Amino acid sequence: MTFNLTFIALLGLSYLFILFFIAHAVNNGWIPKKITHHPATYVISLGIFFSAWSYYGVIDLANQFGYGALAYYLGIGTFFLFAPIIQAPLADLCRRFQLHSIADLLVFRYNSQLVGNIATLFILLSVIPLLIIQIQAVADTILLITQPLPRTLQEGLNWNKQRDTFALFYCLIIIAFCITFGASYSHHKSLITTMAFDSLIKLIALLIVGGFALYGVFGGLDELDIWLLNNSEFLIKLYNPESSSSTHTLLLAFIGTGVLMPHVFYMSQTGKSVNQIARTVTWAFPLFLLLMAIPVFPILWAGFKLDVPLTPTYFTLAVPQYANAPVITLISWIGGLSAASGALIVSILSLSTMVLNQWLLPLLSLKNQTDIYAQLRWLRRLIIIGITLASYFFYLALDHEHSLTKLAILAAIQALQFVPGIIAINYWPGANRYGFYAGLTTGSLICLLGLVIPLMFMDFTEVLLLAISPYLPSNTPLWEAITLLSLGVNIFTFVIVSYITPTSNEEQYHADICAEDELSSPFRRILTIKSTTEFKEKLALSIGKDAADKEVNRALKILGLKESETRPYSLRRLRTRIRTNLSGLLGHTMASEIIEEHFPYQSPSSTEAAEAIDINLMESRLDRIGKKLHGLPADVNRLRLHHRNTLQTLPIAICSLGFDDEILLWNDAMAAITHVPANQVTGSKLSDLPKPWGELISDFANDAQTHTNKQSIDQQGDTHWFRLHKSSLQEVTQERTEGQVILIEDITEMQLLEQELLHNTRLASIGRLAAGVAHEIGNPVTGIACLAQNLRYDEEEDARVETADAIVSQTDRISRIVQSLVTFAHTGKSSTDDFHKVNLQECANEAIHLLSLQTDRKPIEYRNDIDKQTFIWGDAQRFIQIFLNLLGNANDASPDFSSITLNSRLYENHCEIDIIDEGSGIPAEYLAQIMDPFFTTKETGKGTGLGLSIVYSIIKEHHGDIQVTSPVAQGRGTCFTLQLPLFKEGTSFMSTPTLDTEKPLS
Amino acid sequence: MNNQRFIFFILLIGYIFTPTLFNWLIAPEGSWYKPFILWIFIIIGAYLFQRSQKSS
Repeated sequence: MTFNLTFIALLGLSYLFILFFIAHAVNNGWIPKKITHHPATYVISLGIFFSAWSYYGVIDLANQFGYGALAYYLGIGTFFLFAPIIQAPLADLCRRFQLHSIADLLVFRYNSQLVGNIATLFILLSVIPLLIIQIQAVADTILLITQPLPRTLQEGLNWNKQRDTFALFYCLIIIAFCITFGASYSHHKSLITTMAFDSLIKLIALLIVGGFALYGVFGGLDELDIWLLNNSEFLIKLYNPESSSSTHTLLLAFIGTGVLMPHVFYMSQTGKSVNQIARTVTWAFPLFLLLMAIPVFPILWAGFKLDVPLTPTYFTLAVPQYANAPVITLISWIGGLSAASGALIVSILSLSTMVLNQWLLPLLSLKNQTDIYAQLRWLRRLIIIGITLASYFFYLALDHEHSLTKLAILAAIQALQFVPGIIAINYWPGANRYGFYAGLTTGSLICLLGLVIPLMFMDFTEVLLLAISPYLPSNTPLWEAITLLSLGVNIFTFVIVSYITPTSNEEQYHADICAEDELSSPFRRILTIKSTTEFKEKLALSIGKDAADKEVNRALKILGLKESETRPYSLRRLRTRIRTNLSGLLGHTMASEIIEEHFPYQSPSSTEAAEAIDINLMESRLDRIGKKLHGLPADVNRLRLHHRNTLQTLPIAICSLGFDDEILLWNDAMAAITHVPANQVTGSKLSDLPKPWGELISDFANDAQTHTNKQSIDQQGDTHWFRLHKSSLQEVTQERTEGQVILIEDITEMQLLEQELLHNTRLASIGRLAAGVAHEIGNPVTGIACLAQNLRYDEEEDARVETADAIVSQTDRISRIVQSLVTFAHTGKSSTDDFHKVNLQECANEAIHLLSLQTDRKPIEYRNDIDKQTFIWGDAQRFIQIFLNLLGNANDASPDFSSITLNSRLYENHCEIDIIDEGSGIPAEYLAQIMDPFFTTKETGKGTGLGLSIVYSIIKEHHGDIQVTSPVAQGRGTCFTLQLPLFKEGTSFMSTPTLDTEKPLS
Repeated sequence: MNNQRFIFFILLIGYIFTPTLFNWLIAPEGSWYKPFILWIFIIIGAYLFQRSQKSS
């Protein structure tokens, strides 16, 4: 049964068009993110590992190796079963440092461009057989379903010619797809979704063919068992295959393939969510493998049952074809086409990245390019065309002589040579680049001599076999011996050379990073760059202004930094981020060259500078990997966090400085005192701190004194007092200073209390003096009053009586003054136990009277309209003091001949007293502070700033409240409103209700 | 820091049991799809293991 060639061509083109459409739909957002970002999409996309060989060639593998063919699936399955251990660390590394190919990863680990060059060469050598397989499979299968098998030599030649034409057309379509959707990294998501669709089609097609073989050809499981019993040679082949001893070697080769084949690497290492779904992959991908593996044996046996006159390689297509099932034949062919296309596209894209980054970019100068992105795109496109056409010519050169299985095993064995170098990335920090060169080169040379050359020149195989056969175990195939020998020599050379050759510090640093042991050496280097603008200017010299602006802005956005950033720690992070981003764009080597050229670190000027550890970097890394730690390291990390939190939340302001005055720690209390958040200053220099802190702390840090006395600082109009202490941080083992810790003590409250105490002491002295003076004056005044009264009664002369009256009147006045002084002297002595019924109107009158005695009093009218029935719980002397302070302030603020009014409002449980003046009012900016101690707007020496704060505290002692309104009307005047609980008969002060909202009674 | 002891443990277990397990799998007794049933059990085990890891 054959099909029309045009029909098949249209079918194939339609399928590839669907791939184009899906990629385009994802790029345009037509497919919901729920599908494109779903873990299942990612897992299925990994199915591109199953190339045309897995679709067709694995049947031949099953024929040769029986159950041994399952090694192919077990090898890959093992790789994914242990994905969180094997794959996730590599994926994490690639994502962190934007390493987009296996060569980039190796360059990063071994810190050598030569490693990248060599790796790219050997990867090309190992992948090209894979590319040839895909092209050959597609071309072969087109012929198989469109042409009858050739019977003559001429037919055979025509057959080959047509096959080569199909292969060329197929390559051109693949080139078109890769150029359109793979030349830019921004299309990565569309590629994953497209490949997931591709893998799904292939899986469904294989399951359908397998189901057809089982139920269509045999009639069911039982019938298959009966057939196997009747054809026991197939069962014997299943359990005792032709090449039974090779099973373990096959397993080994295919484990290596799982780790190394670039098309797998490309997908699994560059996806953003690998780590999150690594656990899903552990079971989901082996399930995918299982579904791919189940149909293999039924298809193989169905091919033999139908006596298909073809090699088992193409049984997947031939079984439905020779069973005359046209629809299933077409489905099978589409499955094969999808398998070949997916593997080919991803492999070509991956190789193009490697060739661009490792070979071309180091040779090309990218200077003076206005659009580096377009240049990179075009370079990639050219490489894609080059690699695809090269594969096509290799395909022609091999002249269809070799089976897919042979080519696939060859690719796997060559890929296996990378295993030691790759395993060392995560698990052996002691390995070095010389070991890697030596191991890879010797292993690959053995592979080349033992496998590749014999593949091309059969004569050589005979010579080789003759030479080494005495050393081979009996019944060991040449390919197996060469595989084990090449890998063994590779590992041996790698280990020995790594031990005997020196490793540079830089390489060791990278090795530690890769082994996730990077915390051992995060040194703090000093950058010569001081701003983000400088970054842009310097970077523009290499990649052009537009690209430089875009890259720096992208890095700033990722890090959440501002363009005005100048902190050394932030600039170091920016440098690392730009390097990472450039690595994704240009490869690790180019990125490193550009960064080292334009943004070098200063040479350390001292031992301290050379060995200063980047605490912030270390902490951020520990925070990142903290959850992965177990056992003792986890305990140490918990201890670190405990101490960190202790320092961070300590109610004493602390900052820790590096040897170069870089701020390493800025705790919460420090942030509260200075109003400078930690995330703004951590990593910056002391001198970069905002005023006045920069100068204050910097001067103190560089001073010989370890403690300071009171330092006053004006903050938002208030004066605050601080005391500073410092101590040197000694490095425990090396007996050198690695910085200092500064402690800032806010002593404002203590200072205010001290001043208040002084003031109160002074007031108390005055009070005592007043009491003494009053007593001393009182006695003679009483005498004078008595004598004046006697004189008034004794004298009859009017003029003298009048004089005596005047004397009595004046002595009365003196007595009242003396009484007021005594009253004032008693203020502040009562407690709430002494609270009694107080008439506020009388208190206000007393205060007004005292004020009228002032010698410098102004001509101001006091109007006391407080209700006579306003009684409260309290201390009368204290209320006199309140009125004295408030009226005194009002007096000072009021103009001459104005009036000060006192009025009241009574509520059910409390009263409100207003004291309203007609003065200039209080500026709005001062309103919030007037109750603060020592806040005064009066001239120096005229006010202590304590008046209102004393008023406030007395009111609070009486469970009341005070409010200020200014201006009152027409931009002038101030109104102080006192709210106080009313006196109630039969209750106590403690039982007075709290203030609440009430309607006034009057 | 990698949990390398776990890796070595797995490798050791693999080294000890793989040949036996493989020989048992390809032994002629039982159905031809015997290895696939074992495979399903491994998948179920992996699924349960990852689920417990996720919840912890």
